[in-house]
Amino acid sequence: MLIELRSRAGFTLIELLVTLAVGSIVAGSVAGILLRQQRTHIGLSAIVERRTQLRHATNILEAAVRDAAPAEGDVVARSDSSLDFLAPLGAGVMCDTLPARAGVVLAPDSVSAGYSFGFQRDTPRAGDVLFVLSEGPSDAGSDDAWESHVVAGVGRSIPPCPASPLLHPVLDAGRAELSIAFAAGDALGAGVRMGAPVRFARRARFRFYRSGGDWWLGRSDLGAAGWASVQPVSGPYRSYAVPGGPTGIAFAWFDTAGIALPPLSGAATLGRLTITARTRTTRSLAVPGMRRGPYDDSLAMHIALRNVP
Amino acid sequence: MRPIDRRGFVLPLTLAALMLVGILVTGLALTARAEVREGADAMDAQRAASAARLGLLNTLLTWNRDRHAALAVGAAAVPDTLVTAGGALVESRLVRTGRNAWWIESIGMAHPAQQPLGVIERIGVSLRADLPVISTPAVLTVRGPAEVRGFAAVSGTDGIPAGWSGVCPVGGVPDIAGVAAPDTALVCGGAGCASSSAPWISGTPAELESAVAADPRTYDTFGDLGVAVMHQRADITLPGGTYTPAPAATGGACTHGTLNWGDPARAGPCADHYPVVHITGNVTLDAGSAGQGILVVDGSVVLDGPVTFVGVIIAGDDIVTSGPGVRVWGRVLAANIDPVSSTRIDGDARLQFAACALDRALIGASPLVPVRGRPWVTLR
Repeated sequence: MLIELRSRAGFTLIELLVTLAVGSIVAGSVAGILLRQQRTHIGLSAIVERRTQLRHATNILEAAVRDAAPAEGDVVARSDSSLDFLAPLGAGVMCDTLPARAGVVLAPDSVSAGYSFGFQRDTPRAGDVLFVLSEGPSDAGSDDAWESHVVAGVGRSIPPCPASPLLHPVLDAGRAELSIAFAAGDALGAGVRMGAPVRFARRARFRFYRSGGDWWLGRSDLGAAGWASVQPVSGPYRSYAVPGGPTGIAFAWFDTAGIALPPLSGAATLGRLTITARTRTTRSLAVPGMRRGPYDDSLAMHIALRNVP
Repeated sequence: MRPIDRRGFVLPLTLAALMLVGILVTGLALTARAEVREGADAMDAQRAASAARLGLLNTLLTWNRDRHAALAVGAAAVPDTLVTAGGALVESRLVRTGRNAWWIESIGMAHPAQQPLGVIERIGVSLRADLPVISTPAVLTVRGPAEVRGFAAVSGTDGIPAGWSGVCPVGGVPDIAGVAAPDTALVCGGAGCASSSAPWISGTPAELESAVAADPRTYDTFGDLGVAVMHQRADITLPGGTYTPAPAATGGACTHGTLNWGDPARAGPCADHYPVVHITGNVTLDAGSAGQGILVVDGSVVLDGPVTFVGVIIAGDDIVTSGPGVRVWGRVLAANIDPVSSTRIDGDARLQFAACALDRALIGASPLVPVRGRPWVTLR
């Protein structure tokens, strides 16, 4: 019997063992690197997210409150963790009145001449408040006052204010602008003149509240149907703690001279609001160069209110 | 020798691991980049907002008052532009929206060289002219005796000064009294002051007996502004003496100076220059004088014609006119601190009410200030 001997390529036992040993070392190292990278990635992402939330909270509050006018009664109530106020919505210039002075027509936000007369952060709706400056009986500034009217209806007027010198009779003829009607029986006073500045505001509440086990900054607006449910606008944050403690969102109030104001007095003299936001991750983070454990961060913003006497 | 076919898994494993590490590192880099970009955006927003505020305040603080009275309602001034030390650009523009209503919009751009322009912040402020309230009931209000003699006339009928028809419409304003005094027995007209007031004094009514004329506050309190504020606000303060103010221009531009009180003929570049002038004693305006705005004199005023003035003259003592061609358009107040002397309008002087010209002069002589309560608006 003839036996054919073939050359069979393969690994020897030793080769296999060496390969397995080297492969294990390499795979172990790679797995370790991957794990560390993954932890770092998760940790840094969590840090970025928390910092973004902190900035978000302070930016939202700054944008909402900095144009408020405390001396005009815009701040209704406040505490170390909530604010109830007339949130500025926009501005404009009156270029006409509705019949019987029962409403106003605003000049367009921008006109063909290239400049603007206002801006609406949100289109006014029924229940919002319109303020219009009355010059009073004399030219003295002391008898000027902002008349307050509740918005009952909002429409568009085309062409806006055909006789107004604020608009070009031809180039601006196609621009629609807001026409605001007041509630029945309400009318502009005699001191309101053409070209008067107009402001809009909406009653709103910011509140630091708990939902689903976490603490959030929430906002609720007052509409014609009443208060809307609180919606989270930023978070989650550290849980509420008494003033002085590491609370998630803290409001501190100061008058125009920089003296701290207690929550229940001095609203008309408000000049500054300091917001401190604190956050902590629920999970422990392992990021090189940082102490292992939950990540804490905070941000404080001082908001000087613009419309103070 | 035949090569041995060796198959292994270390290389593919290493490549796969490297790829995974690469993906994670890229993810980390992107996360870090997003964080940096967010921070940079926040900084840009702050830079643009600061620029917008700076531009607006700069426009307010450096505003040349000659400009705002000249703006018609609906017209805008040429925008002011400013580049901040940080390279941000700001453009601020003043628009007149009503008789006494202005609006400045200021646009700050963090990186003006970029296209499209990086972060932009817009803010606005509503303004009014901080006007003195001159609401005396007559074109000439006196606290003591007043005589209108010769060919002189005091008229409470609304008029338009020569050269002002282009900026002042005709009519629409009710007439006011000619002369108001604490007691009309103190007022007389005609030669020797023996006749009735007509035709030397006219208006609705020609003569008015008024408690306002008797009240000393009429002569030193003008709405919210006391006479001390008017003194502080004066663009020109001069000691008592004799002066001949006249408009002055260089290279087609109005040259402000102590003896340039504007151009009441509206014939040159000083047509909308309305200074507040304070004279700390008695003053005589000599023949050829011309001025407009607000003239506050601690003592008496002598107008030695021809003299033209548009606006308001507030005299601590009396007003005396003489010679030909004295023309005063607006309102005149004489507090008569010296009870012995009296106001005397003589020659062919004419004191006439001119509502539009007076309004323009008062607005032009007053600074723009933010309206009360809610002047500031964020426009974004």
